[in-house]
Amino acid sequence: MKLRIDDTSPIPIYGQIKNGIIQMIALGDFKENEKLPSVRDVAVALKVNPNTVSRAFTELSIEKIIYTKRGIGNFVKNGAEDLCKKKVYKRVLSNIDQELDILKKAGFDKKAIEKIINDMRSK
Amino acid sequence: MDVIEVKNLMLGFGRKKVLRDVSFSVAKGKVVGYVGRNGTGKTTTIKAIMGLYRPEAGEISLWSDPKGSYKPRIRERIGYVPETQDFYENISVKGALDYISKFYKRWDNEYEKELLSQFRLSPKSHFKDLSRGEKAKLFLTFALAHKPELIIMDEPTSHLDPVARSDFWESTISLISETNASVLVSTHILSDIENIADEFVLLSGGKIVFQTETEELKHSVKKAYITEEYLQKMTDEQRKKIILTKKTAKGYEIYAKNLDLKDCEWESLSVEEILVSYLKGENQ
Repeated sequence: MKLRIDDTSPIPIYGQIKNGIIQMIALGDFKENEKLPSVRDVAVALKVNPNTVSRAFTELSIEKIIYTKRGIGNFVKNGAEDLCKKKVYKRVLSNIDQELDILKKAGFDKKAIEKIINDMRSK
Repeated sequence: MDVIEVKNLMLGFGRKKVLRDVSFSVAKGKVVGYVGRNGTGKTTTIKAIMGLYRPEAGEISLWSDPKGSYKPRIRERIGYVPETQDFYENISVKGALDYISKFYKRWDNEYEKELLSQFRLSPKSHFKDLSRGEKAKLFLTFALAHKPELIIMDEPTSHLDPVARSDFWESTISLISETNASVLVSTHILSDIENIADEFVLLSGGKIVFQTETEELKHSVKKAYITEEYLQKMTDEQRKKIILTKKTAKGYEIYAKNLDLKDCEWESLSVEEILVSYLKGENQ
């Protein structure tokens, strides 16, 4: 499983699991209508509380990313891939923003930051 | 509903008071980590819950029954992994399991086999030839094979190597996923349970420092770096919220709970860092 938990992250564990699954759907690791691993499998693999995994699945289902077939398991919903791509896009942007903040605080001006971004693009 | 409720428990040995005032609870389906330094009375508390020590004062209820600890029918619903794992030296693994299984009506032979193969324990091995890790796994099999509603574990992994610890937790998590059992686990290996426990109970000096949900703990306790001046300017109200202060080359590193300070960058902490800061802070 590609999911990983960061113990010192300010994001609660259920949120990290949720974000991880969203990213896996966006990258095509789980296709639409594909069955997700069970709560138990995720809990055992990550060594986390099963209640925490259930909570992540519940939120994904409220956000219409997955659906539950009772007694069978959780599946990726139709249209979830686009939705997840948008979410990942937003998250990556905000991460970049945070990193750029460090540069701003370090005294790099707008021009310098633009140069960094352009240099990155041409790589 | 509370599966375990400990109220104002007091217990000592002779003149030595170990537990002065211990109150906490384990709600149904929750995993509660019982933590504190060595020798603070974690094992004493757990033995009292199991009915092995009689409280001097206070009350312990299991499933709301204040005499639950002494009733076989209630103890049968508990899977117990004790701290010291001794058994008849010359008995085989299978012999030990056959003996223990007689105490439990709901013993599941199929599940027993499954656990043995997961743990790579041979039924024919003799108890005296088992490594510490194998003994711990055998005791976990005793505790889990009857699919208990409540699992109580006392420092279960303190003598295990990393691989055995990993196997141990995988089996425990797998069972609680299936049965939604409640768990009380005492440990000083905090990293083992920081992602497993729903709540933490911290014991120090024979008293409970707090019982808090893991998420709330991580949300409320944070670390920041401040200057000496800044520390001097703080109000008493603000200082009370500081758990631990460490001197650094340029000022202070402070660990605090729900402290709202301007121009301060708060860093998130792991549960281990938070609990250690509480224990170290007590000596300040």
